[in-house]
Amino acid sequence: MIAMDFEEIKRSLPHRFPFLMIDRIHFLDPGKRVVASKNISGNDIVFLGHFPGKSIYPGVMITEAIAQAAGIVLKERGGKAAEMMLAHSDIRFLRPVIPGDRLTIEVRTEKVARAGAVVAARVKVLDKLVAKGRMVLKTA
Amino acid sequence: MSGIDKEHIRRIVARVTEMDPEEILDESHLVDDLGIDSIMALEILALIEKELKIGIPEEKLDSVKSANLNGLVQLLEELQV
Repeated sequence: MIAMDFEEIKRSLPHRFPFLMIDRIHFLDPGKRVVASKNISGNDIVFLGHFPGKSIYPGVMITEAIAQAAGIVLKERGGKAAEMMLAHSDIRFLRPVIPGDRLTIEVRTEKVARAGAVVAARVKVLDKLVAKGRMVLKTA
Repeated sequence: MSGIDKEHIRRIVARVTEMDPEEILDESHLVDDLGIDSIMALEILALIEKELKIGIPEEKLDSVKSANLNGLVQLLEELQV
C-alpha cells in the first residue's frame, strides 16, 4: 500500500494554492485505484463568493479534486500528471458539501491508453456519498 | 451468428456523441460523420468493455476511429472469438 502526505503530493502534482485539491493519499494502487482526502475549511477563499451567508463548496471544485486524484493514480504508473487534462466529466452531485466536511475521494481507472484515460469516481463525507460519476482525461 | 448487440453499441455511441440513437446509422463513419476524436473513442471503448465485458486492446483505438458502426460491430465480433 502506498500513501502520500501533502509534501509528497506536491511533488506529484504541479498544482498549488489555491488550486491544489488533495490533502492526503491514503491508498494508491498505481494505474488502478486511489483513495484521497480533501479537508473543507471555512477559511477556503472560494467561500468568499460561494455563497455569502451560506457556504457551499462548489461542485466544480469537487470535480477538480477528482481530476487531481486521477492525475496521481495515472502519473504514478509512469505517466505525467502535469500533462493530463480534463476532457469530459459526468459527475452527479448528491449532497451539499460545507465547511468542516472531509471529502474521501476514490478513483478507479476503467480504461487507460496513450491518448488518455477513463475513470470512475465516488466521493464521500463520512459514510454519505456526495458525488459520483465518470471522467475522461486527455493526455496533453 | 453475431454475439454483439448492434443496438447496444449504437446506444453507447449515441451516449458519447450526445446524439439520438436514430441519428447513428449503420454506415455512419465515427470520425467523418459523427465527429469522434481519440478521447471519445476511448470513452466508447471503456463503455463497451464495461457493459459488454469485452477486452479491447489499446492498439484497436485507431481501427475504431476509422470504422463505421457496422465496422465497429465486426471488430468486436473478431475480438470475441
